Amino acid sequence: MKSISKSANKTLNISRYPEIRPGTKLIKKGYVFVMLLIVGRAIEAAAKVDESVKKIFADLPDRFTFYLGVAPGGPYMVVGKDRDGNVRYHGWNLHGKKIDLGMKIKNIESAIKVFTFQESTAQAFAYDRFIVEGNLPQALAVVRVIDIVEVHLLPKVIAGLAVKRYPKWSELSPVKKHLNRVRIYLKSFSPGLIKVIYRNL
Amino acid sequence: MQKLHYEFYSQPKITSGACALESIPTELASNDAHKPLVITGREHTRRRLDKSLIRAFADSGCRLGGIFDEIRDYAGIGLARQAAVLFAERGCDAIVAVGGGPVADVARAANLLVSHDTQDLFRFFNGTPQEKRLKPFILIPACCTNGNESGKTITVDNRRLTSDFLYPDVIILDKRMTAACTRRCAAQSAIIAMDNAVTAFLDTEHSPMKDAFAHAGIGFAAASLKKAIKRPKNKKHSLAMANAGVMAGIAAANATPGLVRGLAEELEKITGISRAVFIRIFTPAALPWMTRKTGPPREDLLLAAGGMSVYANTPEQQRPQKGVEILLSLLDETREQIPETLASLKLPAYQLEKACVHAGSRKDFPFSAQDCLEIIEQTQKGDRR
Repeated sequence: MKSISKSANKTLNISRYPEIRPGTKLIKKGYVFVMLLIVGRAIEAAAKVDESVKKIFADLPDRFTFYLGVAPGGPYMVVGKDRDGNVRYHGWNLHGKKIDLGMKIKNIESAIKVFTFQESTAQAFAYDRFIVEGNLPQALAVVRVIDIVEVHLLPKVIAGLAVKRYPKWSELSPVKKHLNRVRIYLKSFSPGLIKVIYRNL
Repeated sequence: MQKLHYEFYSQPKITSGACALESIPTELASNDAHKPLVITGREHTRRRLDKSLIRAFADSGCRLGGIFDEIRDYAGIGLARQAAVLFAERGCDAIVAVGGGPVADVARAANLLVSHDTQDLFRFFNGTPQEKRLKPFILIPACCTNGNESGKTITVDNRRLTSDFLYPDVIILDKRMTAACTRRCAAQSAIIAMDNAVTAFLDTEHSPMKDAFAHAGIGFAAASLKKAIKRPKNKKHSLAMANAGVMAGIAAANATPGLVRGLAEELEKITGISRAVFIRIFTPAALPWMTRKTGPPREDLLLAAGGMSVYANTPEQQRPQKGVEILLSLLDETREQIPETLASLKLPAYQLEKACVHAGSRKDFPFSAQDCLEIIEQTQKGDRR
């Protein structure tokens, strides 16, 4: 590059083309942060309440930890199994954690599409919006967990947009669904949430 | 019969649809680049397309080395050198081009200069082989396109250079960028895309890969051409036409130039009038001429241009002719934007002859100057009728 630089064309006024440092989308980042916090806590709660989530986590290796977040700078949510096999939401801080599986959405706009339910998680995977670092079958297991949690957390109209296929009555009875929904919400917003936030600050 | 011996090269990764612009930082990172120089045209910055690009880089951790927006409607070596100087001064490591035609040509010429650390661009035009891979180059087609952006040919100061190294690494098709500025611009881009796709489709050395790209290109163009010209700012249709342009461009880059394309390129060089105008004028005479010379086109042309139902409802013997008719009717959609007759351009006869001689002497062109003259004569006869 030296020969080009040395002979810098004197007619070109370089200051006319300033370097640009793109800004940040704080509101969108904040929204995704809150959604990840809620989904993370809900996964922890669903692993205690819902049989299928419990089974999916039981099939994953011991002390399995994964994160889901937005590239390149976050926000993130870290969820993993502890020594006793219980699923725990570890907060948004990646530092000091042994991660087995990383799932990053490529950019904040794609994350907004996923978390405003304009696209389901499976659709976002198909559109190549995710970067997976780790074992792909494990990533798909995590996607299944997120789908189940969304079915429990969201009303049917919205959850229908967010998941690949909304479960039929025969697969998930309305009584069980509503009962689990109440239990998941109660567990998610229990005082344990404050403990997690405090630990991550 | 299945064609098992063929060669097809396509370098670019194509990303189309929602959030395509936002995927650029990831694509740059995967090419080990973090600070791109943006090269674009004055018209594009006036339409604030650069702002959309800057917004797409938010939270990406990438810095833009600058936005070089000096390009108008001509690709010159001076502009490429200026862009290369800016690239070097700012320590950039990739190039992002926003626009078509001259913008893409200047960006690739600048990429040649910075990648080989030289000021002498024309040594490549004179046959010096390229020794290195070029810096990562991302193309974002916007507004008018000339069909060569997605391919491997650049035209700088009216000189053409073809090399496999000149393919973009990534092509981003985003509806925020593809909307055309005017109906004329949309019509010109559409005609060039159609011609590229048809050239690839009718190439005697056909291959399954080339057919796939050409088929998709014709399909997109046939479905959206009319609406894209009627409403050039419609995001959905302009994105479809941009897809058609890119696919047809890649297919044409792997095909021998057709008669119309070669002649139109030479006439564009001599007269300065867009290639699309000549394609529009010569195609109605050239398609029957080609049918006489090389036999009727394959019936797949009807499948690509008319769709499955038209194909299925047409008797087998009539399919090639019906395919040609549909293509001509699509061309007819541009009659309000683009002149239909050669006489209306008022070109002196010597310019037409010169273009025929130049086209006939091109190494990559399989037709003779006499063939080109025949097409011109038949077009003029058709005009009189």
